[in-house]
Amino acid sequence: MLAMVFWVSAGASVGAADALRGEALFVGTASFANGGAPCLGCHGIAGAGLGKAAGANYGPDLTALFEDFGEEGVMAVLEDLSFPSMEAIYAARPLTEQERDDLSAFFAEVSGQQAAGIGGRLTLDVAIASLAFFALVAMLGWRRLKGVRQPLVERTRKGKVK
Amino acid sequence: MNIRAQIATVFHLDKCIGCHTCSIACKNLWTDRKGAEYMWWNNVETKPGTGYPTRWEDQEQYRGGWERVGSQLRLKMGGRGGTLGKIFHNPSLPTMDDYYEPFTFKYDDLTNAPAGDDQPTARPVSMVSGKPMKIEAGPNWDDDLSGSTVYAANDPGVVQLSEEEQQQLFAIEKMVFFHLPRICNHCLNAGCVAACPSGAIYKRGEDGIVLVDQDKCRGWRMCVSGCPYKKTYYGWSTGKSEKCILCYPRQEAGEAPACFHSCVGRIRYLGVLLYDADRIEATAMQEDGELAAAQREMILDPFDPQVQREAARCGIAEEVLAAAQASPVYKFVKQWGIALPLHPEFRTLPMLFYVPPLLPVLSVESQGTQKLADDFFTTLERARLPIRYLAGLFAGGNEEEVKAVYRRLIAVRIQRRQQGVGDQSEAEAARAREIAGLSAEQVEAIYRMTALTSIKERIVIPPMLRDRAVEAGTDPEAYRQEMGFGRRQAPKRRW
Repeated sequence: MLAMVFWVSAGASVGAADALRGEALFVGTASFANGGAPCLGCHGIAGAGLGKAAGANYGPDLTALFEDFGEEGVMAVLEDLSFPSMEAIYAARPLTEQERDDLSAFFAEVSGQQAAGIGGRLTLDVAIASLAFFALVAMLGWRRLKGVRQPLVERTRKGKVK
Repeated sequence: MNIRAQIATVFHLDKCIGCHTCSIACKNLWTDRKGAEYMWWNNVETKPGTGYPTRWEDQEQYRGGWERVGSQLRLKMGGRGGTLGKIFHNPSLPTMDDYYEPFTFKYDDLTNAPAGDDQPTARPVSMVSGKPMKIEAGPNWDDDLSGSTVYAANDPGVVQLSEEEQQQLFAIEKMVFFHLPRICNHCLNAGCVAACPSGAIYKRGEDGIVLVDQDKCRGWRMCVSGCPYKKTYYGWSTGKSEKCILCYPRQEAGEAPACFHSCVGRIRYLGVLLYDADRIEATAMQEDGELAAAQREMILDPFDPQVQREAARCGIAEEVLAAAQASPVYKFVKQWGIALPLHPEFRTLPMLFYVPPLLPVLSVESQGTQKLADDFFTTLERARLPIRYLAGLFAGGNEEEVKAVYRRLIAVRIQRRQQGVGDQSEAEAARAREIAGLSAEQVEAIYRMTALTSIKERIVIPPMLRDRAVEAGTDPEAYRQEMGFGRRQAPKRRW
């Protein structure tokens, strides 16, 4: 991936919108010129398999961004990013025109892709891990002292009823 | 040598009448509050019996005290790694039921009941949940051998006896028991101190009293497991552990601890001992049977000029040395050798010693006729309590150790009868003394210390010299105005 990014940044001519570079910016392998945070910090793109485990879920998923807004809409949004929680980050660190083009190209590329299902497998993994954890705790507590007096009294009384 | 002072105690079991005055005095003073209802820092057990908490002596269950692993001494509950692994879940804690669920009665129902044909009753309610409960155990459930078929028969010491010895113990005409009062032993090698992950438990340098710092305690409860005598308790209201503090606030004011002060039978002796702290580990590594003797060995002679010089070098004040010379505990343990530690095989080097109970050694058949020094040993063998049982209790199984004590106690008895009743000849008394290895003056001194003492002779509290400790750091006048007892901040949880 890094090598690819390197090759991309070296090979792609500046000026042309480049979806690969857009992806690098989105993910954070390439940083924004003005120091803004990479998009993946808050947004996932399920269609591209990014933020798969609903890890990047502070903001909405951006798979369908291009379909909903269209190119002009996307560019307009990227220009000022005037959402309350984003303003604090990007007002002082706006995206350059080049970056906006690249990101837009990237969004165009991923739009329309089917979101890969993430629910089933993750649930299974979590269930297995939880079971393993509880089994470990149960094993550690297996030899716990269950009480001394009560069993003693019961044993002695049982012994008498021979 | 690294000489330190230790406030040590002797309980004379021949004099204990099992009245529980000590327990009540302590309860009223220290543990009569929410979260501490079930605690008895001082309790009196009936032996044979299972005690409080039930079967506390059984370290296979409770994992208290130390064990030898190769050439190392290790806590039985596990090393540091083991403790860390169990830190959120200590598997060997006694349950509430093993102590007992504290209860009270709804007395209001008696006084406020409407007039009717029936007697009003006061139902028992739990002091923990406040809900009605069925009382199934108490702090002295097996007192005076009650429920002995369950409790006395399951005493860990009794279980180790042969079938024959057990029969002898519970034969109806020979049925026998004695009382065993227990407080914190303020051990030299305390298991609770070693087990505490927070470092909240410490042993006071000036007098060896073991205390739980209520500000540092985090309620991990490892001390509850670590103490083989089960003498630290978890206070469920404050979420912190508490234990007997040997009434240090009283002692600092020159008063005897409450349980000592209130003791009806005057069985309790308190005094200061000097010991060599460098020898703690070597002593605790001895064989089970050697431990009682090794512990005696550690105690130093305060009359020895070399010990006095070393003590001065280690910062032991003259007044404390004088108190050590007047210490009745030193006499009992070291000079006369008639007091033994309880369960030395736990290897915590307890500093509470017991004079074993002599009991009626005269067998029933002989109708109280002369059992003389001639059959001194048959007298011992015919003692109603098997020597093996007592050896398990006070000498790590070493019967010779217990027999030596009994020879001395019997010699005292024979000499006193010769002088008081006149049914023994002087030759008998002399022979008894010879067998016991005591002089006539020593026998007289033992008798006087046992029977005819004032409280000042029984309880010799060393000057705690708090004034010097205070002057070193603060203005004494300011200290006096700020001084108090207790805590400045409430515990995070609640009182």
